[in-house]
Amino acid sequence: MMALDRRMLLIGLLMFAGAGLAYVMTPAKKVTSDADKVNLETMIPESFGEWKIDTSIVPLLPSPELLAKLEKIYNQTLARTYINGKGQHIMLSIAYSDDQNEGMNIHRPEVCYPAQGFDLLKTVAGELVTQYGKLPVTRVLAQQRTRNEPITYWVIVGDKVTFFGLPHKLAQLRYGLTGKVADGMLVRVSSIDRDENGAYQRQQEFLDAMLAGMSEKDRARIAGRFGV
Amino acid sequence: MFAALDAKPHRGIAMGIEWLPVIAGLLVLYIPTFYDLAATIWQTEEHAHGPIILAVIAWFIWEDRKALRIAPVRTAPGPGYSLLVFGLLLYAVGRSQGIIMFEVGALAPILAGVLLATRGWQGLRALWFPLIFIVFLVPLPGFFVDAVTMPLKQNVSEIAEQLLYAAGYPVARNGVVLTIGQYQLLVADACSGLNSMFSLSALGLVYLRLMRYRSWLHNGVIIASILPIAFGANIVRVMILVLVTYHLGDETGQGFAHNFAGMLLFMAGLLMLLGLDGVIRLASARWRGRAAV
Repeated sequence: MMALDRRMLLIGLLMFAGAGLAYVMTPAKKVTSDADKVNLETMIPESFGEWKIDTSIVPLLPSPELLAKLEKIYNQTLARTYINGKGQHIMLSIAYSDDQNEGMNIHRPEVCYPAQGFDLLKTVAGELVTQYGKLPVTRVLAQQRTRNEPITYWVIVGDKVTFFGLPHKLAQLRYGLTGKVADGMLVRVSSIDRDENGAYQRQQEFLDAMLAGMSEKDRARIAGRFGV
Repeated sequence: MFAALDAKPHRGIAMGIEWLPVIAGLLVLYIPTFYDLAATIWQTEEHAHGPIILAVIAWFIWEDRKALRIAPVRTAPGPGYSLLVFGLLLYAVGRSQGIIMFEVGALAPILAGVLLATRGWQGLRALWFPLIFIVFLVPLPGFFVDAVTMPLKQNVSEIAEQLLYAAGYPVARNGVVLTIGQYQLLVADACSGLNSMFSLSALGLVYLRLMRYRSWLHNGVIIASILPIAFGANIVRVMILVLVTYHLGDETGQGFAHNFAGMLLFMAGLLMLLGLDGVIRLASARWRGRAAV
């Protein structure tokens, strides 16, 4: 009697082939080369339109322990507060990684805010109208005691704006299956404001001015390709 | 006679050896997967059950290993190899693109394919339970958790509020925030009860498998009652936490009592399930007794 069955050998070989295929399919090439590395600090102008940086306020970030954990995943984060002539504030927070990863979910406002005791009152998909075109965004309303914080954010995989969840995963797949690792960015603005609609309107104006103050290349980086 | 006695253990070893290539293949596929899981999501509270589920699957396969030893009456190579190749492709996409659901879930078609190709439908039937149980090894996909968590939380807080209000407590609710006396409590994601539903379902199925009831009605009633029981137990848990906070203060409610209530209510859910099983057994015994008279 033969100890090694041919069928069993075939199955074993198929399995090794499966493992090999998975290895070969794993994307290794990063979309961004060293030459076009992102630098958030210089990319976003310190003043644009009627807005300039106000260093007295810092936007909400993930907790310090979480940030430490994220350092492996995240190459850069930027947190700034801008103020206009009327004394109105808008907080800007950007997270960038050249290796798009599940870790992006931690920066997702729907995760990041409740993790620090905020209640989410609303989450709606919306559109940000800018002079360059429309940008699909998510609007969130977070609240903690008396702090009412309307938030507008979008997330980018590679060069396209997407939504979290399945579309995010599919956008990653589109790159991954061609052997590339997509970079990703999450751009968020928020204001502490009781007037929800007024705040969203001001955030729209703020973002429009910000995009106008940037070079075309940086704008494509931060907002993806418009109208795609 | 002598020869026959001698041949038996030898054949047993040979039968074990013939599985070696398959075992080696499975190890190459899944050691990296489980190693990665152990280093990542198995460390989180929501997926801490992972290794236990894996052990349960392995144990049930070991239990039914006899089916792997007996020579097949008739194999099913067509469906077998198709399933195997499908599973391997699913694995390759999942593993390379970081889709854990595909990577882990592929284990079911891979094992089913191997069984069909080597031991036929008979082999598959003998090992159906551990194969089905692989479902519990697959982490629930994020979009499903997102879609289910919010409505569950909403329902849990609503029912808890109404019951407490009916009991005369000064309670009010705004979305998923319960206000009782001077305290404000947020019904968090962890309070949705999704985790306890998941664990209780897994445990319930293991229990049924161990009892091996023949009646489909008996099995069906128990399976159908797992989720309602888990849901009810969770409401009681949330209410207990609200009451502990109200009577004993914020610190007690958030500290020890929080974890303890979770454990306690999980046990209660399990006991309710066993109790239901006892009632069904009693009822069917009595019904049978009456029928006999």
